Amino acid sequence: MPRLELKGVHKRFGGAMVLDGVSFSVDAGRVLGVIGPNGSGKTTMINVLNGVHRPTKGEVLLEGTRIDGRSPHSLLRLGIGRTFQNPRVFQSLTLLDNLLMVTEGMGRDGGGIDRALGLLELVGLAGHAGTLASEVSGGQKKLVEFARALMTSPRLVLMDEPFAGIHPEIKAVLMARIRASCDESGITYLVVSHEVSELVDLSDELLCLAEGRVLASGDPRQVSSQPEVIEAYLGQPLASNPAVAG
Amino acid sequence: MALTAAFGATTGQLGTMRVVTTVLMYVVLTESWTVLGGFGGYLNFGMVLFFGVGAYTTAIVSSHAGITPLATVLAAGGVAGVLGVLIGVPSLRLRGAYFAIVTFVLTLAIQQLVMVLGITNGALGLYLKPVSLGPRASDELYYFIFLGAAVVTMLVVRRIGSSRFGSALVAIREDEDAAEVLGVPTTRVKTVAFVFAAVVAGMVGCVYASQLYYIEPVDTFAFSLSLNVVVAAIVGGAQSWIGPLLGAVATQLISQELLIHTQGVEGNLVLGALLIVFARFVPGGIAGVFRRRRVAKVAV
Repeated sequence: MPRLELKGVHKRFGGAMVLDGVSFSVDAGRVLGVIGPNGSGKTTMINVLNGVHRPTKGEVLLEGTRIDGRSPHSLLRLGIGRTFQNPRVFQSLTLLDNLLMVTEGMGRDGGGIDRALGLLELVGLAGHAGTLASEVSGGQKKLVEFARALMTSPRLVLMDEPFAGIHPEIKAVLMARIRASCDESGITYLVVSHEVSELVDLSDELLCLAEGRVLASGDPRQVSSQPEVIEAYLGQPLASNPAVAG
Repeated sequence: MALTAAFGATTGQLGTMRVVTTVLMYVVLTESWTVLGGFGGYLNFGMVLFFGVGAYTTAIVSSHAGITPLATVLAAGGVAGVLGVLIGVPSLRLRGAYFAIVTFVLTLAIQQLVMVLGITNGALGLYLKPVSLGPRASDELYYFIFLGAAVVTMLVVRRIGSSRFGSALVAIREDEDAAEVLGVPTTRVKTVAFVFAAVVAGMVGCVYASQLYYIEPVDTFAFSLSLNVVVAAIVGGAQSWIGPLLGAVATQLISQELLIHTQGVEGNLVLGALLIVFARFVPGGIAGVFRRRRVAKVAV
């Protein structure tokens, strides 16, 4: 049984069909990379999976249980964590408190501090545990968000543009930690990114969205080299794009 | 707080005791307001709505049941709390200024309703049975009721501030979407905080009506009460339990002093100026200044 499965998911905003019958599945302990041009529906798909938006039509299943239409906080309890395109850390709280907020939100008792410190150590921020989130860099905020997502003991983590605008060293740390937690803990990741080369290296499978539909999916290197994917992504035919065609 | 209480308890002047009693009443209201308004960051301009509903509940129930008005305090808090649920559940789905506007508009709407309803005796208002005590004993009774209520409310709000519920409210203030994603049932948490303030305001309204033994819609639903609470919280610092205490004492002592010596308009101007100065230059309020100084001292 796949960890996550989408069956014909549609999402309409007024007259605009942003997701138009999206179907795919991903197994436990896998990284699914999602690429697509701006406006292809990537973030909307994450918002549907996360419960921020209710799909207009279709089904979302987490290990066979239908979860579409549930609230974000109830989906967290089912094991779905997420990070945002622009990191949404609690600026006036310390990094440690940002992670502990998860245990507060989930109503868990005890052991939170040790676990939070362990996760900050994992992402190389243990020395900043007492620093206010407003005082760390954008890249470090992304690491905090990632650690916070792991703090929820997730089965599935949704990551929206985790590599955008961050220092290469932080990017390397993040990619290594995603891969390690995937392999060691069986966490499934759905990673949306414009950075195709990083995503090809990281992902087990790659999916390309275009105009709300799945254009291609499968092996990352094969998908990323398909002419229709390149055309959709770059907005022009392969033959007329010397950077790719050459 | 201790100084204010001691001041009220030891003075022989009834007028002074009444001023301190009013200050204590605002301490209770502002403390309860700060749970949603300060910890959660949602500006509630509807405190007088629940205060007024509590006062009218007391007047109606006590006259129909033939009991002393103070005995209806739970009914007053209960009716205000139910109204809080009815208003909070739909309106707390709104954010920022929209929620503040709803609480403001509903206050005006309920005031107009009270003016035309038969059970509230319209604009003429209702009389209540006064407590069977002399003027001094009566004033002492209400002084000690509000003193006790202020202490209890502060302890409760302090406890909330360090609880899981308080942390959830802080998360909502910081970033509501992120809080929801991290497992905080945001609408439920906000509603509980809103209803807490409504219940407290309703109970305060009961004591106020009992103390005055006459209520009518214009003064009982005066928007200035809601405004005074918000100003006190902002001046004192709304993000801790100590801020509302400092703010309520400071603004009410200024306000009451100006009321004695002026026509009242000057008092509003001073409070308005205080609000602007604190919102612009001292966003953490008086409590925030002390907190920063303490942090700086530790850092040195």
